[in-house]
Amino acid sequence: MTKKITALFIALVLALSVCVTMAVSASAQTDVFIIDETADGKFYEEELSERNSQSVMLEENYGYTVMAVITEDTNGLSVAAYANMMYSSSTDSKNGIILVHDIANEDLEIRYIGKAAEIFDNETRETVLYAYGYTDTYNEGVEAFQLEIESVIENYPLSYEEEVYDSGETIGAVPEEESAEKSEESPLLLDLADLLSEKEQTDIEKKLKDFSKEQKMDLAIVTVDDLDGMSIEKYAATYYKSMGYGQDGALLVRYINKEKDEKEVYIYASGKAKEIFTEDFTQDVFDAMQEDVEAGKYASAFNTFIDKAAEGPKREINWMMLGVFVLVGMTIGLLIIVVIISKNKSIVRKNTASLYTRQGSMMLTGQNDTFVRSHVRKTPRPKNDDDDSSGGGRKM
Amino acid sequence: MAVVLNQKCPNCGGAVEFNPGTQNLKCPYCDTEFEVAAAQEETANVVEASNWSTQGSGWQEGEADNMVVYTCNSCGGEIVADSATGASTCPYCDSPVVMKGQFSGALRPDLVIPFKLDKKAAKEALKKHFKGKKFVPKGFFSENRIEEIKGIYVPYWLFTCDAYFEGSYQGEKVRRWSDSDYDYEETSIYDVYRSGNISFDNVPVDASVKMDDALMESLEPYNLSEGVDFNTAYLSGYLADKFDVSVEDSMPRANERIKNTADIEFKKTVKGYDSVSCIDSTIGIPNGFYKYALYPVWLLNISWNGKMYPFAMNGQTGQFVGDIPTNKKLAYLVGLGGGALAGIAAFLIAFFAGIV
Repeated sequence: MTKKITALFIALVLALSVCVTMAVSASAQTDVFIIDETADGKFYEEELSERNSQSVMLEENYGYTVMAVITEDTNGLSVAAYANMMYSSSTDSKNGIILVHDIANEDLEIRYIGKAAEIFDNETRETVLYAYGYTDTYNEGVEAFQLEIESVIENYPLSYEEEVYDSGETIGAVPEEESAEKSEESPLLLDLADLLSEKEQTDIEKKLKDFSKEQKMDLAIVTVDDLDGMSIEKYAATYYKSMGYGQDGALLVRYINKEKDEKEVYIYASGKAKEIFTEDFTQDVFDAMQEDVEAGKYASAFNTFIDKAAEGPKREINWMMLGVFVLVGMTIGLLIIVVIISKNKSIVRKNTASLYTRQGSMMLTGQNDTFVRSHVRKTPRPKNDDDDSSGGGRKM
Repeated sequence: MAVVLNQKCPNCGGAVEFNPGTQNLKCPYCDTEFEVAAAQEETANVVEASNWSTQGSGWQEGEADNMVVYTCNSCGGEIVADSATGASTCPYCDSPVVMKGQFSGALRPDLVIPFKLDKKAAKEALKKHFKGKKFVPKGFFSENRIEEIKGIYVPYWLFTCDAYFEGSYQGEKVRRWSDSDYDYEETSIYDVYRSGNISFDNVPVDASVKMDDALMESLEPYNLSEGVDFNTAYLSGYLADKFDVSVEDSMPRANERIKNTADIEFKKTVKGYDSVSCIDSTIGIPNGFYKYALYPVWLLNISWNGKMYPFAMNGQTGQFVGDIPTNKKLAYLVGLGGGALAGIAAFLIAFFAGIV
């Protein structure tokens, strides 16, 4: 009897284990790395499944997320911005590669994120691009893309400890300090517009790192000569997110395009940095930087940016608000005193004799309620149109 | 010449006092205690008629109208007192004396509520009354002053009546509804009439000119079921006043309180309206009578900055009342200054929290 119960128990445990394993396996299968957004579908189901499995394998073996998106509509975004958006909305992984092919505009973009940006040099990037282009079908193109990616990343596999996610969770046990260091992997200074000398870059990047470490928020600078068709605000937000900076941080974007004679500077702030980079303070920073920026002294301008960020906004006392606080305090104080003083008084005349009413003595001997008149008041109701919008216009 | 009575101890002949704790008479010299009824029998034997009369021609006309001279039966000392004084203490021998003539014949009270709480309880109640009170001027309240608290029987007129009430009211009912274009409000007016009877028992009105009416009303209520037939023995050891406000002069206050109560009670019977306002009301008191009573009060008058502050305790229930003066300058300074400082502190907290 005991043996039967033991056998039954073991069978139950095994069955449960199988169910859990299948459930975990099924949930793993739900990751989608290959996305076909075209109306007619450029992949057969088996092809999609096969490509997806390949990406799953790449992620499991090397730690990189490899995505491909075939689309006909990038929602008005540039392909690069669309790639960033698709990547960040599909995965939390900080290291990966995404290919986006906008077949309506014949536009192709491959973005390298995190560690991938470091291991793919210009040569390997071109190889990947050509591998995708020189095929007959989309399935073959994505397969070639995945193979080329694999040929590079197999030499730079990420250990599980290196796979750090935005949420702060890690695959495997990673000490907190180690995790904090990982957020510093994204370069805090990227001089794509080539405005700084190497020494200036080194000095500023060190200063940015020191700031980020001390203030526990990322402070970054990027100089660009191309905004990928985006506004500088959108570019800054996209760049900040794609670089995997922390929840709290700020990014200075210096855009200068001499050919188009365009130049602009923008500060993007996230989390707690928003409290520092208020509208007024941001303008103060720009004022302080303006002279150096106009003189082309970018190192000095960026140092000013870092120094100002470290100082924080100078807060001035709002005397009128202080007056209001004092006035309200005095009013409350006065009320409290009046209440306290009133407790010192206890002599009160008794204007009724209810305490002396003989119990049950009250008796109604006559009562009469006569209707006299009535009148009705009519008030027009305010008209309430269904349209909630408001506004106005003038023909002139 | 008034007749002076002081209760003498049957054991040692000392002047006895009423003891609120035991409701008996007690001799402070030999600690002998005996019932009030026993003293009543003794009283008949110790009452003496004095032939002394007021002498002298130095008084101007009317000058001595409110003064009476008594002779202490213990030491023979002459006591000059207010004409309303009914019981006091001899200033020469400290013996309690009762001016019996003040409560005899038509002036005899119908009932008396004896003291239930003694001087010790009154002093404790006074201390409790002052406890926790803020901004009391320094020196206003002191132990020395507490010793001055005195037990006094205050004269009251008690009015009992069956009243007839008539009241006219205007009642309003409001009904509201709407259609797609208008909101409607219909107000219906009603004439409302109510009449009926209501009775009151022993509505008290202070019958002493010296006592502040508001102070005496603040001490209410007294439990009249503990009242007993008047006996001068109860006055022994206390001060007592005979009434110096006539019953006729006290009636308007009783009528006012009775009418106010009837107004409230009959208005409560006007129901079903959104609002009710009284148009007119009258009260008739065809069957009314009154009684004369002495109520026990512990009293302390404190003079401060030229103003008298009376404090009183109901000698039966312990209810304590009295307005305590306030150092208003200090109070407002603390209120405004403290408020301003609190405002600055709140501002600084908000400032450093980045709220302002």
